[in-house]
Amino acid sequence: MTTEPENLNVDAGEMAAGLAAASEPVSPSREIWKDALAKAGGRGAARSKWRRKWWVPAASVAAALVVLAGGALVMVPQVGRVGARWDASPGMVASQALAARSEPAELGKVAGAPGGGESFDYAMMPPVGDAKVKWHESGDSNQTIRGVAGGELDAGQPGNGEVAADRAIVRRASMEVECEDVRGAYAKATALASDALGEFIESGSLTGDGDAMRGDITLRVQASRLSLVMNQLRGLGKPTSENLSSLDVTDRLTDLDATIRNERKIEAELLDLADKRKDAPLKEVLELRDQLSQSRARIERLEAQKANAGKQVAYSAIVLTLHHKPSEEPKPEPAKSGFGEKMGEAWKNGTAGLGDALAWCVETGLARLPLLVFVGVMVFVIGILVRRAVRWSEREPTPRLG
Amino acid sequence: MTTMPVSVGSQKPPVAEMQVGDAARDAALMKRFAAGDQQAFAMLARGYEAYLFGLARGVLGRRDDLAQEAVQETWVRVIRGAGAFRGESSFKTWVYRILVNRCLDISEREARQKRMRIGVVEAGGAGYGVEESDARAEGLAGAIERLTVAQRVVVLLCYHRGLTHAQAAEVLGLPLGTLKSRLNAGLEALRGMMGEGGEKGE
Repeated sequence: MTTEPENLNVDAGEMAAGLAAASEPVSPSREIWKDALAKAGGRGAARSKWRRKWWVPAASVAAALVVLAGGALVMVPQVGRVGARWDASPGMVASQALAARSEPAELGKVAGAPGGGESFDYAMMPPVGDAKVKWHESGDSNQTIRGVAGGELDAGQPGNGEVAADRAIVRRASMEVECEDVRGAYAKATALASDALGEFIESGSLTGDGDAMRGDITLRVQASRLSLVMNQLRGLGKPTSENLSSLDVTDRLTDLDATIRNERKIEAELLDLADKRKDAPLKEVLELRDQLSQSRARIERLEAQKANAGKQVAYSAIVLTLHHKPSEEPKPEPAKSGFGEKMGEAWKNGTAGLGDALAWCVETGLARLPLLVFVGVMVFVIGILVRRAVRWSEREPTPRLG
Repeated sequence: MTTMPVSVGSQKPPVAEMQVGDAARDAALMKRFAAGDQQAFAMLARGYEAYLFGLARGVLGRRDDLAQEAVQETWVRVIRGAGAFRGESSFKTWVYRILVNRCLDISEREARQKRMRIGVVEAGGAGYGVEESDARAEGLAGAIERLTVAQRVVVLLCYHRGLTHAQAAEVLGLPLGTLKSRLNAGLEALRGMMGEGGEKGE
C-alpha cells in the first residue's frame, strides 16, 4: 500500500514546532567563547588587529619600492640628460662611479678630491654621437681621463678627433693651473702651439701683479695633439680643475653639404636659363642675374661655414687659466682657550652643517619633486588597493550549499 | 594557561532571557572589543552562544562535540576579525554565516573520515557523512538528520529562533525567493522521508 506524504499525520504546525526544536538554543556544557579567546591568543582582538595590520604597511612599502624602482628606471635617463653630479671620495676612481651608473657618454660633472684632496670639476659632456665613453681618473695629481668609442684615449681627452671615421667632433677643453711663476708658465704655454702644424694662439692676456697675477690663453691645437698638449700644460703647475666638452657636428656638416649641393644645382639651372634666354626682356635678365648673385652669395656663405666647422673639428680649443699658487703658510689661528669659545666654534660648525644639510635637502627635494609626487600618488593608490584587498580577503565567504 | 580578565559566573542566564539581534548594541560591543575591552566580547558571546550552539547541534546531527568545535571556531574567527568589523553589515548575520561555514567544513571533514574508516567510496550525492549517519531517530528528528546537509542548513536556519527569513537569506547569501524555494524543497523532502517512515511503520 502506497502512502502519499500528504496523507501522513504531520501537520504544518507540528512540523514547524519540530523544526524549531531541532535548532532550539541550548546552553553548552561550558562557555565555549572562553576557549576561543584562549585559542585566539590571549590579547584577543587587540592582537589580532595588530596581526591584521602589520603587513598592510609592509605590503604598501614593498609596493612603493617596486614603483620607485620602476619609476627610477623610467626617470633616470631623463634626469641624466639634465645633469648629474657625483662626489668622489679621495682616491676614488671616477670610472667606478660612472660605470656603476652605466651612464656612458653624455654626462658628467664629477667633483672629487683625488690624490691630495684637490677638487676637480669635469664639465658636462654633450653627447658624442653613438660613441660610448668610459671615464676613469687616477688618484695622483697627473689626472688621466680616458674615453670614447671603444678605444681609450689618455691625458684627459675624450677623443683625438678620430672617434669614428665618419664622425666630426669639435672638442674644447679648459684648465686651471696654479703655478709659482705665472709669467713663465704663460710663456711656456704659448710656446706649445706649433706654427708648423697650423696651431695658433687664439687669445691671450696677462693681468694683475704679484700674487694676483693671472694669465688667460686660448690655444688652438690639432685635435690629434689635444691630449699631448693637455699633458704638457698640466706640467706647468698644479691643475685645480679641468673641463672637457665635445660636440658632434657631423649632422651639421652633412646638412651643409646637402644645402651647398642644392644651391649649386639652382645656380647651374639659373646659368643654363640665362644662356637659353639671351633675347629675353631686360627686366627678366636683370632679375635672373640678381637671383644668380644671391645664389652665389649663399653658396659662399655655406662653404665658409663648412670650412669654419672643419677648422673647429681639426683644431681643438684649450682655454688655459694660470694663477698664482696661494701661500701655503698656515694662517695664525686666534687663540682659543675658553670653554665658551669652543662652544661657540662647535655651534658655528653645527649650524653651518645644518645649513648645508638643509640646502642639500631642498636642492634634492626640488630636483626630484615630480618623482616624489609620482611615488606619493602611487603609494596612496596602492595603499587603497591593498586595504580593499585586505577587506576582501577577510570577508566571510558565502556558505557553499552546492 | 592564559588568565582572562573577564569575570564569568558559573551560573548561566536562562536562554530565553538573552537578547540578541540588536544590531546597534552588537556593533557597539564589537567596537569596544576591538579596542581591547574583553568584557564587551563576553557580553556578546553570552548572548549568542546558546543560539549558535543549538543551531550547530541541529546541523551536525546532535553531536555536541562537533557543535562545540564549530562554535569555538566561530568565536575564534570573530575574535580575529574583530579589528576588521566595521558594522557595515549586521553582526548577527556575520556570526551566523561564520557558524554555517564552520558547520559545513566539519560536516565535510566527518564525511571524509567516515569514508576512510569504512573504506568505501560512496558514489553520488553530496557525500556528507553526518547527514546519513545514525539516522536512527524516528519521526521528524530522524527525517531532519536524513536530509542533505545543505537542505538541513536551509530548513533549520529558516526555523531557527531569532532569525527571520530575510536574515537567513542574508546569512546564506541567497535571494529571499531562492531561499524560500529551497526551503520548500527541504520541507517536501522531509515530508517524503516521514512518509517513508510511516509506511515502514505500518
